[in-house]
Amino acid sequence: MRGVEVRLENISKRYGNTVALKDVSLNVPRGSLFTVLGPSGCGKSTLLGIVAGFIEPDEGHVFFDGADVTGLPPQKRNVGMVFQDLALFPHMSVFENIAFGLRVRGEPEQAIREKVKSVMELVRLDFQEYAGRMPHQLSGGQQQRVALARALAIEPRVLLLDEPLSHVDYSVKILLLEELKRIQREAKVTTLYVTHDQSEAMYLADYLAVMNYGTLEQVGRPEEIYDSPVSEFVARFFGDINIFPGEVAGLGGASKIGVRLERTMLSKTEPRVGNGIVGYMSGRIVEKIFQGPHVLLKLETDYGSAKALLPRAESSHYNVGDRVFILVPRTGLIVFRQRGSGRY
Amino acid sequence: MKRGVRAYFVPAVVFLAVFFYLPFAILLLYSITVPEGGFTLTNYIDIFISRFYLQVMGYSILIAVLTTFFTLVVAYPVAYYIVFKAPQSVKPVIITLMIAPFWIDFLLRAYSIKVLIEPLGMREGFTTLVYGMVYDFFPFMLLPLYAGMSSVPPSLLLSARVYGAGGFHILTRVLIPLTSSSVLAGSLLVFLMSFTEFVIPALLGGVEGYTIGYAVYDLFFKYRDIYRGSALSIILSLGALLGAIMLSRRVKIVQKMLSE
Amino acid sequence: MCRRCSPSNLIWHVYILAVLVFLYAPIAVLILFSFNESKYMTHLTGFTLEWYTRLVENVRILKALENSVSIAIVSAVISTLLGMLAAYSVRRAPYLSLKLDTLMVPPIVIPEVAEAVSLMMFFYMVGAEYGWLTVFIGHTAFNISYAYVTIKGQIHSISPNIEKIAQSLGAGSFAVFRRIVIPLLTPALTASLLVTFITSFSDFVKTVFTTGPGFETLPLYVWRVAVRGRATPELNALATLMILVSLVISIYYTRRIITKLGESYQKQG
Repeated sequence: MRGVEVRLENISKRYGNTVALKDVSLNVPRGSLFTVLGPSGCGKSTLLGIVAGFIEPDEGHVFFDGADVTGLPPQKRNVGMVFQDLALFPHMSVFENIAFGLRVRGEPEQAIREKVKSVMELVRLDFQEYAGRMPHQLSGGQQQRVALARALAIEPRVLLLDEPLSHVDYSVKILLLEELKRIQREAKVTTLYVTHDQSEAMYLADYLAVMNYGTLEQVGRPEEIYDSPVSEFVARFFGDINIFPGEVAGLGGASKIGVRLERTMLSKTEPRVGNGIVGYMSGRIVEKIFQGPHVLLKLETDYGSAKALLPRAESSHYNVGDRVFILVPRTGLIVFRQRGSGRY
Repeated sequence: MKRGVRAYFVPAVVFLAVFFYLPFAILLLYSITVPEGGFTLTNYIDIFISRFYLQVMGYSILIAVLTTFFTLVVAYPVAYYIVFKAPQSVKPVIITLMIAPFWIDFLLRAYSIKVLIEPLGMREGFTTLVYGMVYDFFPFMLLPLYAGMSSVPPSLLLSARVYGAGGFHILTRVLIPLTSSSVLAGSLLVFLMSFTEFVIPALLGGVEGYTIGYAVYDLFFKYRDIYRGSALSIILSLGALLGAIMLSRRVKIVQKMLSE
Repeated sequence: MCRRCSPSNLIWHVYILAVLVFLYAPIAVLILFSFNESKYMTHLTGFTLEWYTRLVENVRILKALENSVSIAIVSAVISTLLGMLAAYSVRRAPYLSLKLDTLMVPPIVIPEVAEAVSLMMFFYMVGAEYGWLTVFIGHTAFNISYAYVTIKGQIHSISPNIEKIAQSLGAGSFAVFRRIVIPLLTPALTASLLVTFITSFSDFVKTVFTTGPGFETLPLYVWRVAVRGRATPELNALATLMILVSLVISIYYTRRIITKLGESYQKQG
């Protein structure tokens, strides 16, 4: 299969008075799995619709491998799609569902059969057993596989997935995420995956874009975005974080500092600043939540509420009601300024 | 999403514009015209001050009310039985049998009553007429009731019973409120259809079969008075439209109450 | 074991049986008398098929049958087609859809007598020749509305994503329509064809106002014979045949509904 590089240039779209997308530019490398993460209504589905060709942007251009496809209707773009509701054709068997794109292309019967077989193998659906079944005779997970196989059968230039797993149970979701990653690697198809679920995004993405109010807040590799979020929004939406008011010497002006929960340290005795610790505050433990390997502690401080994620063994020293000191470490300290931020 | 909307609705709209709305405009025009030319409301006034037409209208309303009442009383338990009581094995058969008359020619069903009353020694008249109306309009009441009843979750009736509600309470507090919009829809449908019906009265009513629908027919074909005929038609149409608008409002309100 | 024979269930069964007798007694008697030797409908005198053979020889009835069937078929097909296109075109445009509803519903709501006289005057004014065409137009004017309402309910149950997926897989709008929309609408289209056919076939009021001299449909024939005179065995024979056709259509239609309901229960379970 041939994946393409997808490039969006200065895309804008409004519906009446509401701005869905504002000057969005994006580069999806060939063969990568690119995740767009954002809350509902942030414009991510509109973005996908523009890449697919269902929605015409007011401004800007879409390029596949450098060729402008902005004016091309969806049926000529050769993109594979999977929607949240899957939208399997209920009146067609699994075979006919997967074969649909090949049939409308007028491929010979033998080639269609071969292709359907090989895609079903790719998504690990047994041909003998499932090809003749109707969609409503399949489990949710099997329906997902059919939807994916149908999109892959046409050897799409881009694969577009619009929250395909948001209706799936947690245990099935983990399995399907693994499968999706494997299939994407094997098919080497450029994939754009839209979701509001940060755990999906974290699990899947080669590259990640966090979206809010129709703009891309930050684009990068997942680790980069996790360690150096550019805004409070990104920091909170991608992973959890403690944010305190604070001033950082040498930067000047009001700013805020953030510490990821797992880097937030606790102490029962008053610590000394320096030696890796840039500051501290006192607080009280209000809740202790067991999370398997970790324990989440919720705290009240003079600067608002905070959280800390401790290894289980360490957490046994702390109980609800204890007064503790919350330490802000130098490593992993995130500073938010009016615009932009950086690692201290 | 401009790409989704195409002008495929134009043929249907043009057809209705030419063969429904335009003729209606002509009807409206005639209803406010006098034979000598010029506009007037006398055609309407004539009808409203005429004892004859008011009596016929009252008589037709009486027939329509009786028809609506009896079809509702007969069909409501049937709908309940089909949805909640019928054993699964005979359910399809019962539904088929109950709905089948809907597909049988209206006139033929009225005619079959005419055939039936002869060996029974009954005569044409008011009773036979109402019987024929109930017989003919029964499916129009049953279908909306059946649809409405099907959407009542059986678990709701069960939980009402669990909470100790007796049969009568379940009926008045749970079932009837939940099906009220389909009761209204069915009743209005049957009322409107039976109010202007004139085939069945003519066939089964004998000398007592003169209804408002027949009056329209007579105004056009017997008296050749298209002006008053048009006015009477407009009055009936406006009444029906008003009823339908009221119903759609009521149905929406009921649906809203249910969804909240 | 004997849940079904409790007193309350007994009452239910008696009631349902009584309603079925109420519905079918007149039809049964009519069918019975269509095989009765005597011309008069007071006593059963013996079995005969004479009325059926007379029926087949009756040119007037055959002509009326031909008119009724041809008008009903053409009207059903055209109104279903126009109704489908109209319902399909506004499926993604809620505002336009509401506007179209207000245009399409009045022909169902307004008393048929009023509709019929207005059309009669219209045909008179344009100088149309009353006959097949005028009756056909009269029937189609309300059938379009029935078709629209019947099909529209079903169109909304098709996920818009289904069409999008088909498009993304390379299907142009015609292919989407032919391979996806039409097959998914088959139950609605069948229902629409049946409803519009039967409505046209049984129609009396619109027909009596829009027909011309010498042009007769079956309901007009029944009316003229039954109202002017009285019930005749020949008419009984005709009625019997028409009732049989209706019953077959009814069973077919109800089966479709039942199987659909059954499937949706399965999905929920």
